[in-house]
Amino acid sequence: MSTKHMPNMDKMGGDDVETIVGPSVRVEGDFVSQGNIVIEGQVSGSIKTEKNLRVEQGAKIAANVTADSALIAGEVKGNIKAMNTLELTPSARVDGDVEVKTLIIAAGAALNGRCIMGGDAGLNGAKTRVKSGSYEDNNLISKES
Amino acid sequence: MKTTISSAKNPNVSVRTARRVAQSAARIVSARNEIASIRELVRTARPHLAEVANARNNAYLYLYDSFVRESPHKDVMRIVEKRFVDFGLSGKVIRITPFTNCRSLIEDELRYGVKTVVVVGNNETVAKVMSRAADLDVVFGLIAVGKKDNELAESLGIPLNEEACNTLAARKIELVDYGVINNQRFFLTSIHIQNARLRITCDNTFVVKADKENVELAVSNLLPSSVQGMTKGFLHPQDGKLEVIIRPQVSGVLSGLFNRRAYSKPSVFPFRRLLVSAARPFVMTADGRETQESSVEITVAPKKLKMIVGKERRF
Repeated sequence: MSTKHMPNMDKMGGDDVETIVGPSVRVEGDFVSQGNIVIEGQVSGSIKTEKNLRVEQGAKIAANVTADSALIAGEVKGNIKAMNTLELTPSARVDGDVEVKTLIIAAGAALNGRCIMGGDAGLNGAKTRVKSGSYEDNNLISKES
Repeated sequence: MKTTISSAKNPNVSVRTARRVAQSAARIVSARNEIASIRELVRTARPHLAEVANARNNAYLYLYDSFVRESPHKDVMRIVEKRFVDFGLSGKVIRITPFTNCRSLIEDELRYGVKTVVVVGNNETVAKVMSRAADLDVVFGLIAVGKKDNELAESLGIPLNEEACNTLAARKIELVDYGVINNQRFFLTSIHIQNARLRITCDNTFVVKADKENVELAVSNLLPSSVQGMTKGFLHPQDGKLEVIIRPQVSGVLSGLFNRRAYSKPSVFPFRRLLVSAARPFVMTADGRETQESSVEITVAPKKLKMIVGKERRF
């Protein structure tokens, strides 16, 4: 399986992570960062970062999200805009519109909202990949894994 | 009787005139010898003149803590002061006490041309000086004396004791951030608030809450956070921001039973302005000094502090 379009979340730990919202913490307001963000708690308002966002399992976000790339494993109630890649893991629950260039949805993830894809590549170049299926431009082909 | 002089060998020139010419020639020769010796003197003195000019340009003020003159540090200080002379770093020495107003002292010396203030002591000495004087337009250096309580020197890459003189002589200057507390005093290393029910507002844009639990809060700049589990990877004293680390206390049966505090995973937020308030006063430790506060505003002065640092610094 090609990993070319997956957000590089391996480096999000230690020195490279700039902001961490821990599991027992609630953040209310407009949350803006220039670096990576990891959310394990609750955030309401808006979230904006120029780099990567990771929403861990158990995290709850009631906010619009803007990031370069995002990995969602928790709950998001709001619109998500990712300049590059958005990945939804099996535990992800997204209630809102999604605007992204490359979308990766794992089996079991829930997405309730509109999905707008394209960006620089344009609609014709949009790529969607289903983890349990095969990869085709603009076509979803699901297969049993 | 007047005579005309055509040359020194002219037999018509009087003896008196010839004597006058010979005296002039001798004066010319001696003047030439003198000029040659002065040139030689200037040539040999030039390196020393450069040192003196350097010392004058970087005129040093040394602030000694009281413990550095006591044993077991006396021998170290003897070597340190000898190196000050050898490296051309000599300057005025002032001993500071807990009652010394370091800010007015440094301001007075600035009028006399001091360009570099060197703190001779340990972390506590630096805190004493910097808490009131960090915003002054002067270069700060550090001679860390002793083996304990010198973590700041380690962060700055400055060796301990007499080896610090080499770093001082190399004069590598970096601009670092420092923190401002309530627009009144400054901190360089870290702030720590232990177990208080706090309301935390970052950059006037978002609020951090930990429900009804007490939190432990730390702000780090030049020293790693005192919050357990946080790595020194969050040291960025030149990014124009400070980092606040918040760790909510978790109450549980076991923690009450064994009277031990349990904490949940810490959160980290970079900020330029932080407002910390609480319904009840809390104890805040800034650079090792404790105060009681009910509301604290912490801002960053980005890259405003000029510090002499070493090669092994942690940033």
